Amino acid sequence: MDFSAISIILLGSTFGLILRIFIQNNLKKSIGCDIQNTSIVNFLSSFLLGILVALNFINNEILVLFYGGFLGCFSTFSSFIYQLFELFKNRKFLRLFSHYFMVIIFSFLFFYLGYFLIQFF
Amino acid sequence: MLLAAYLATFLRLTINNNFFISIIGSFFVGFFVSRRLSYSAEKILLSGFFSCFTSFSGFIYFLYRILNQGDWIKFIIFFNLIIIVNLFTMLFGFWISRKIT
Repeated sequence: MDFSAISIILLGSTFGLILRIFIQNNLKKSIGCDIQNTSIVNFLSSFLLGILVALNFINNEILVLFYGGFLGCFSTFSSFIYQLFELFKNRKFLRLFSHYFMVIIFSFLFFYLGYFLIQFF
Repeated sequence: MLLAAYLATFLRLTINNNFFISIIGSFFVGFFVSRRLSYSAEKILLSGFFSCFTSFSGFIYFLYRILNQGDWIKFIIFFNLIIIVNLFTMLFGFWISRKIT
């Protein structure tokens, strides 16, 4: 890994972390709906991933680094599992299953939205 | 928090195995949430380190590659298996942490 690759990863990680924390702390207040902020972050990251996949990011070193640095730090799998864990611990099984499937379905919807947006334009 | 994020990112890129990373992440998140952490320690560990260590986009990309092969059954089995295994790993980490204390 050379200096420029490390720089892109560090820069991507910094922006990913800051943007995630900003959305997690602020977005719910302005949207005012019941979607959890972690889910919003993961939907947005799925949308961006769809764009990267449509751009064939595997063959572009900078986009691979963007995927590893920015999207890796912006999206969060552990928080998603933690949300499920909290629902499981509180025995809210119906909410657990609805949240579980909602996140997967919406993530793929956002993924394909990003994907087809690039395919069309 | 940024240093924790950098460390987590490079660790994730070095290991380069999303399933293994998610299992480790889930175990330790379960382990640490059962402990009384200070506000800053909680932010650094959970928001900084483990959120950057595990990757939801990596999980979606993995599922997309299976879906792209047209294998719906494999897709359904994998996404359920990954989430269930991670959920129970987190519960295991939580339980181990409670046992230690």
